[in-house]
Order: sequence, then C-alpha cells, then structure tokens
Amino acid sequence: MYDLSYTAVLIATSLILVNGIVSFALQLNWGYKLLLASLRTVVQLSLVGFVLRAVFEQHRWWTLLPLMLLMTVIAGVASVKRVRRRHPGIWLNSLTSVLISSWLITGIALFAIIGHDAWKEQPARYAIPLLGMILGNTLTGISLGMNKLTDELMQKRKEIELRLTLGATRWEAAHEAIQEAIRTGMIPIINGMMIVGLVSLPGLMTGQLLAGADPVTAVKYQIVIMFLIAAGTGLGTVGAILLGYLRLFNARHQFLYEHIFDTESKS
Amino acid sequence: MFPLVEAIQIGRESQTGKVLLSDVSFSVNAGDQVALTGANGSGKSVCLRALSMLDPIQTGDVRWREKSVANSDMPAFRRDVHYVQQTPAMISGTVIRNLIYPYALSHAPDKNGSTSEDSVRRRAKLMLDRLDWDVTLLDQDAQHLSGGEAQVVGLIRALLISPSVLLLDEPTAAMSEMTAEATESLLINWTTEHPEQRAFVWVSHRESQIDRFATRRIEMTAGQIEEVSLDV
Repeated sequence: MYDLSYTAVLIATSLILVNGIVSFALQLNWGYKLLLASLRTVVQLSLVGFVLRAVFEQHRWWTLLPLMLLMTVIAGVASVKRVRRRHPGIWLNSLTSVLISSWLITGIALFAIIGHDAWKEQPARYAIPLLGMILGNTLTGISLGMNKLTDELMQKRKEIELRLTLGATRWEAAHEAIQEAIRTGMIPIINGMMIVGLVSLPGLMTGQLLAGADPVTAVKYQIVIMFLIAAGTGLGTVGAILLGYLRLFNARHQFLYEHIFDTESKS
Repeated sequence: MFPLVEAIQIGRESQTGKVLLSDVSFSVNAGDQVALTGANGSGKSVCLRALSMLDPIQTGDVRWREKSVANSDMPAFRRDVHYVQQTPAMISGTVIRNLIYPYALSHAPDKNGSTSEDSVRRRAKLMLDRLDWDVTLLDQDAQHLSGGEAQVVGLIRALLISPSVLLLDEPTAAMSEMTAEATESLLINWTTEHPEQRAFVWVSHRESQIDRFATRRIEMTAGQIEEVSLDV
C-alpha cells in the first residue's frame, strides 16, 4: 500500500478554506464551528491512528478488549445524546443494546464469516474496523428509533390511554408506536443498501480500492459489511426500543408518561 | 350495597412531588349515581384515572368487587370500571371502526356474544336514536368530529363494551344543551335499568345537571375528598 506524505494531507486540509470562504461570503457565521470541526477531524483521527498502530502491534487481547469496550461505551452514550425526550434507564438501555448487538455481530463476522486465520494473528486489524462500522450505524439507528418512540408516545398519549381504557394490553396500546420507531431507526441503513454503489462507493470499499485491492474482493467485503451493519442496527434498534417500552409501560398495563422528560424544554 | 369498585386510602404524587391525591377512600356501589365535584385542579380527573388504574398510585389500593386486581386482569378490569376521557381520543378510521376496535383486542369483551360489525352497528343505532342523532355519524371519519360528536361517540363506545362502572369526566361539556340532556337521561336509564350491577361517577360543574342525576355527591379539594350529603 502506498503511503500519503504529510504534505499531501496538508494540501487536502487547506481545501477546508473553500468552506471557510463560502461561510464568510454568505455570512453563515460558521467560521468557528468549521474550524472546530476541522480541528476535531485532525486531532481525533490522528489519535485513533496512533492508538490503532499501538494496538495492532501489540497483538494482545488485553489491549484490544478495553479499546473495543471504550468504543462501545462512546457509541452508547452518543446515541442517547441525540435523543431529545428521555426517560430514566435510557442510558443503560442504550449501552446494553449497543453492546449486545455490536459485539454479537462482530463476533459472528470474525468467527463465522471471515474465518481464515489471518485475523487471529492480527485480531485488532479486523475487529476494530468491523466493530467501529457496526457501532457507528447502530448508534444512528438507536437514536433515531428512541427519538421516534418517545415522540410518538407523547403525541399519541391520549390515543394510547384510550386503548388501555378499552381493554388493550400494554403491548396492544404501544405496538404501533414501537413499529413506527423501529421503521424510523432502520431507514438510513435500508436507504443505504438501496443505493450503495450507484451514487457513491462506501468508505470501506474506497479505502480498499485506494490501497490497491481487487475490486471484486472489495465488493465481497462490502456486501458482508452491509449485511453486518444492517443486522447490528436492526438488533440494536429493536433492543433499545423494546427496553424503552418496558421502562415506560409497567406490568400493570400503565403508560408511565410522566417518566418521559424533554431535555430541551428545561428552563 | 355491593361495592363494584373501591378506593382504599389511595395516594399519588406527581414526579415533581406535588400531592395529587391524598388518602382518598370511597366505594362505588351498584346503583350509585355519584357526582364528583370540585374546583379545577382539585384532582377529579386524577381520581377517576386512579380508580380505573390508568396511573400508578404510590399508596393504597383499588379493589374490584372486593378483590385486588391482578396484572393479567387489568384489561378486563378497565373495561368493567371504564374511564371515559373528557375529549375522547379516536383511533384512525371511521366512527364504526372505533366502536368495533375493542372487539379486535386479545381480551375482547363478551366473546360469546354477537360482536360482528352488524350487531355493533345495530346497538349503536339504538343509542343514536335515543339521542335523536343520525346514524350517518357511524361512517364519518373519526378524526374530524366536533367536540360534542366525539363525546357522543366516546360514550357509545363505552356503553357497547358493557361496563359496570362508568367514570365520566365532564361527559357532556362539549355537547349542545339538547344532546346533553338526552345523554343525561340515556345514562340515568342505563343505571336504573340494572341498579344491581351498574353505577357511574360523573364529574360535572353544572348544578342543575347534578340535581337531575346525583344520588351521592363527593367533593374534592386539593387531592382530598369529602362526601357531601344531598338535600332531598
């Protein structure tokens, strides 16, 4: 694989000036945010690069697992941060669903799909990117789904309570909102699968091609990745939403609407 | 008289710690036509909702026919001790679909009875006739009803599932004078036809209306109740 020189990276970095000029010309007042975003891109990715290099060279489970755990926790926290209406237990729900879904799918990928021995010699080289891609998509699915769930429940609170008064179980009262939430969480990945390859090439595939891989091999990896991501997102989203449902509807078939609080309306 | 439902020292606080109900005890006996009165915010709706166990209570118990309600009996309990929302919510679709909805649930009422759309239509028509309303209401879109129409549909939907106790939250507030009076006599007839197994608790602000229906009166102040004797 050909390396990039630091000069090359610097040239690319200077391209951000284009956005800066646009911001200035149209008075978007985005200069600060743009600068911050650019800085974060450079700093975060550099750190990741060095950490990964260290972990890759170690070939040790005890450096790999904590890193994977850290990534998982960050994903779990990030998914809740994007949810506007929250309820007690949402952090635990999110972490649990992210952890189980992403680790299960990554495990299946490593042991059942990739299979060959190369990954066992350098587990980090395979596990980290796989987990990362699954986590990134799962956290989007969970945050979209949880947002939709609490929005639906609050908007349709009277209708849900009506169903309960007419003798609906908690599941019968909530399942439309749950379906809607799961659908919403799955939209990005389904849409992504619809157009993949037609408009843009996914990052992973682009990376492989730039690094000199055979396109067909790259495509095979990409297909596997798409399904892994879809499975992880589906599992994580369904898990988080069902756990949320159990928090908000108790065994006495009561809708605990008071437990939902809006993080933005607090004055 | 046989208590259909009883509140035993029930208490409830909001998430912020405000006392909504405090040590409320009363029973609704068969044949009762209870007027529940009190200022806005005194806890009348909270009380009715607690009685049909829509909200969790922190203290006390609600007893149904002298027993505590098991979790698995909750759907049957809520149909029997049935809370009617002040502005009844509608599920999407026509009015008739709203009336049939309870029969599509896993714990549907009278499984052995006739629950076809035709039979629901026929029974609904009987009630509409008594209110002097047109049967075309049944095929209207339930999302576009006026406040009064929604209250009529809500009551018919409630009566069709054969409850024992109706918990009515200002059920005629949005109705015209004429419909309100017809509704009053429909509900009074409903209990007096079977006083051994039916009762209602009715939140009302209209004294003239209370005079017409009430056999008991309970006054709420700041989450507490007091039985008021009626001058007969």
